[in-house]
Amino acid sequence: MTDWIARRQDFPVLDRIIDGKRIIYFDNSCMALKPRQVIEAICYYYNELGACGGRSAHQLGFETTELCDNAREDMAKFIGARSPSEIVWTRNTTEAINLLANCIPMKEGDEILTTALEHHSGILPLYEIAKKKRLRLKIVVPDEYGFFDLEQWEAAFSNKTRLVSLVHASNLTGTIAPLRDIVKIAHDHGALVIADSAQFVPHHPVNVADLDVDFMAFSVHKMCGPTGMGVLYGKLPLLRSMDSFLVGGDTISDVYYDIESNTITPTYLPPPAKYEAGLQNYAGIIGTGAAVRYLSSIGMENISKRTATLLLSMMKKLKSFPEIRIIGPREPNMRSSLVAFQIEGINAAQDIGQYLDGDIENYRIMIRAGAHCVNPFHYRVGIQPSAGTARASLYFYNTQQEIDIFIEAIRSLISAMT
Amino acid sequence: MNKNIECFMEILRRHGELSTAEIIDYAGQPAFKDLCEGCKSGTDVVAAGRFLEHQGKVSKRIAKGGYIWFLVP
Repeated sequence: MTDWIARRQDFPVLDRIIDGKRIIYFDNSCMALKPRQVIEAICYYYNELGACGGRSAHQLGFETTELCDNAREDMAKFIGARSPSEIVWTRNTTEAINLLANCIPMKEGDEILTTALEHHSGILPLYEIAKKKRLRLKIVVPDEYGFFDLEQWEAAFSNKTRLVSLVHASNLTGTIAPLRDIVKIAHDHGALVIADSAQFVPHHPVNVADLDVDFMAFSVHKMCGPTGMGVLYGKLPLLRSMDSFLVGGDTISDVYYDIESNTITPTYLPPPAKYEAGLQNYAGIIGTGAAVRYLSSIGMENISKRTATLLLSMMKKLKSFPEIRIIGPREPNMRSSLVAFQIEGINAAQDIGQYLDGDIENYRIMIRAGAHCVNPFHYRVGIQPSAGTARASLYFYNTQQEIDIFIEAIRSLISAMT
Repeated sequence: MNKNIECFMEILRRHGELSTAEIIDYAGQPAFKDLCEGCKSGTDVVAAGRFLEHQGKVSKRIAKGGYIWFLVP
């Protein structure tokens, strides 16, 4: 049995008092807090190593390389990849999807399928590459709760569909896509699939081999890891066959210079090196390894159950307010660990965030307000992005007591503003 | 002073006391397009307001419908 209250001791920021108020952190879908284990791993790099991995043949370089290699192996195991070579480090999910949009071979007239529920980071790289290469971007529209039916997906394919890119767990509705089924349909049509799993991987066990997904992108900062680190998982044969997008130092085995013709010929390394150009974020990679080990020590099944229990409580209480409109499904078992909402009578969701962070006694409750980089779905459900929605998102270190305080704060907010 | 802070101040100078929703709405209008950036979801606008509030240049009060912002004389 996990002692969740004891786990809170791992997070130094939870001890902060700001203007005499304690922190209640419900902005985990944006950024998870960092445990000491991760902070110490990052500090270890800066205090004890500080050198290049891979390219420097000295003791500090060897030690850095070893820790970075361990992190890649740990990440591969964490998501069920067949090989560490299937793990490409990126800065974040956004960079991973941009990289894929630019590396996956597509020609004029080919079609990409995506959805109206995507984060801007998921849809814009596809939009831009479609414009550049004269591809057709087809958007599959979910129902008002954020659900898709498989027949709708089936109908969207044509013999020109080359790529499907979809959000695995929505950062707005919390809905979880039937990824395995969509992968099967896509593969039956000869298309590849990218899963934007930024909101899924930090909260649920995942096995990429079992899902048979071709590519998966996610960010480490949402899973207790350092900022500026992301992961692109790709099946090894695909990573081998694609051309790189970012090239430069550390991506090549040689750049041959032919003196007579005055030309160069690069020979690229196999993946993942061919996709990781330039000096890497070694502290971030080592911190990522620590984050993966930290989450694994708790257990992802355990984390998933914990956040589901907290969400159940939060949603039950939020639903009791007639003024609250919940975005996405009203049943907590149909969503991941977040809830976005509006309050009737409050014209800008930003005011909900401001009130909770500034105008209640003893606590600063930190949520997110705005359009959460999902403007298309706001339009889909008739909400102007400028009005936005408030979003409370949970992680395993949150508590029932924090939810109770949040609910009382919502009650006082409704009383004051509506 | 970044553009959003300048924008927030200018909107209040021109229009007087306004709700958060009204400020976000003005920030997205053509009249302020050269002054305001990233304002579509209002986050940057509100961040600018909070910065100015911390500086003592603007203040806000709770009202029905949301906060009302005003310049500190």
